[in-house]
Amino acid sequence: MNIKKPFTLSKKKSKFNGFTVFLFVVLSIYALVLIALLVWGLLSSFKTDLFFTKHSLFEWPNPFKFDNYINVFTKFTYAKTDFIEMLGNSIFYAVGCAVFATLIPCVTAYVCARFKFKFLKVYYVIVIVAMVIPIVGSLPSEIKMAQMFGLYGNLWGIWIMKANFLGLYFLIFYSTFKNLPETYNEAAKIDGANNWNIMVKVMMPLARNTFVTVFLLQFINFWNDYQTPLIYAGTHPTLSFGVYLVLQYGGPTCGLLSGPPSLMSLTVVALLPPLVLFLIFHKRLMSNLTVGGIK
Amino acid sequence: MTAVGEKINKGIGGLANRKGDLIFCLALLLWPTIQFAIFYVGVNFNSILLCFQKIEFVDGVNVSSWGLENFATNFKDAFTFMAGSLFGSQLRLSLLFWILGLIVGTSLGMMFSYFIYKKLRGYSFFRTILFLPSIISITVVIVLYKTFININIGPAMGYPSGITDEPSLMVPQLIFFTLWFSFGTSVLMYSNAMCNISTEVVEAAELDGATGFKEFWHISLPGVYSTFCVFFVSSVAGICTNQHNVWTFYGTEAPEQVQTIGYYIFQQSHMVSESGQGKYTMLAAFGIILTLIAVPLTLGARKLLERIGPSST
Repeated sequence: MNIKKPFTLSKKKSKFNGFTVFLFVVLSIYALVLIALLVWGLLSSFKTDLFFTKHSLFEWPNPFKFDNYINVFTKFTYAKTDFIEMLGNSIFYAVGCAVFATLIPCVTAYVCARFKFKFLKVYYVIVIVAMVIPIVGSLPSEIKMAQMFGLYGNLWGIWIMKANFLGLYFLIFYSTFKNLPETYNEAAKIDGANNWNIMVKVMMPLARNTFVTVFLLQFINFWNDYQTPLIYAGTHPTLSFGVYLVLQYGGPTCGLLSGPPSLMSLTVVALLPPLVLFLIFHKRLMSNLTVGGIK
Repeated sequence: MTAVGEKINKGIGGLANRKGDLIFCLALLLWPTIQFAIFYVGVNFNSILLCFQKIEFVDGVNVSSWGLENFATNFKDAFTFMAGSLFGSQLRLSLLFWILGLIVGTSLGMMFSYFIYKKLRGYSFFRTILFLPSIISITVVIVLYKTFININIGPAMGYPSGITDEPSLMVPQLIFFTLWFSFGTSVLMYSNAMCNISTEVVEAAELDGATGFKEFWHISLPGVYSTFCVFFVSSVAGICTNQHNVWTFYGTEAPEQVQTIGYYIFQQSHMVSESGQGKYTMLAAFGIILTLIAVPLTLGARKLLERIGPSST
């Protein structure tokens, strides 16, 4: 049976015009620059120093060597901390901080959103005020307080310092819990659940997506952070800290060769975990982030 | 049981429930409250107390003394530093980063958001690319960028030792890097805000013959005004604290011409943590003076934006 196309007076209007074509070109250049940098870094990491001195652009490595990566895993050392220890420090620091920095604002936001006591509004106001009012130069004081409480020089000390409810994620969790219907609470209470059971078995599972997204973002943020471990736990270097050290002082200070290929292999190893997480969870990270946008 | 008895029971049960809820809330808020009291209130209070201290490194030991005289000395040192050429240069660079970030970075970010919001060809790919610098460590990006331009572009431009260490190019390349890699979550936030714009308004504009740029200027921009306000206020608050990647590029001994206020504070704090020395009492006074300047600026910016912004109707 032949189905005729409906008659239309005008053609479907193209979304592309001068302005959007300009944006497309700029975005394409941006994407090209970023991807080119990453590809260049990857290609360079497989080159020998000798080959790199004559072929430092996008030439295919010849010979194609894994030696730089072997050196990263076996020879990379700073202050008697080898690569495996640094990797362990990174995981310890990032996971611990991400857990506390996600759980505390989540629980605080739950209490503020689901209970009707007047004093709970104070916590919400504190979060807003802390975001708006800039406090400059408190870092020396924070270092002194960390030393006073015995938190200085330990990665777990940083967990405690990061376990606060301040910041944007409190507002995201607050919004999530505020939008959950009261009927869930009432149904659970009728079934005899107490506040703890309601929170853990009813409400938290409903906020699971937001929790996981925030946790992933916090993990990536702490994995990439080198300045906090630099200041508070310099004797427990993380992988990001190691990359910074090689950038500033050169490969030989950390047991690597002096040429750029060594540095590139270290950066590829350092960037892999957050990149892999992003590739696996990119839809969740970007879609939930847009849902949690600021009003 | 009578109806009154049931009501009384419900009342008593209600009271017991409220008491149980209160205990539950207090128990869960115990740690966040203590942590806030120590590491926010306590830290900032300690910052004020540091202004009354003088710490001298004598025979390998830090010796501290307290007094109003020290308070005056610390603030005098801070004001003296602020009157000097180094602070002037740091302030100028911090303001330059802020202005360029606002004019170039925010404008481009909003335009990119518009592209993603309109779901034009390749929007999903570009959205992922724009978000990538938020995922990859900035240290890694700087390593790649710095090594590439110093080895490949510097010699081609006649700078054999590289671009990032060339005095005349240090600041321009730093500005370029900071602007180029500053997109990320802000683009996603803006595009999300644009999704809340009524489709009828957009269709009406199209019927009236509005071009892409006119739709962006007259409809999309007012639609994301509240999101813009949040980022603008945060950027004003960050003028004195944002390092703009100077530490990662240049480490502990950055040349004076690339130092920002945020870098200087971090540099001095690092000296405190490394060696126990450093001008941290002067730094505490310096931080308080900057806070007293930044707070009214931030609140004033917020008020101004509320006043000049489009109406919600």
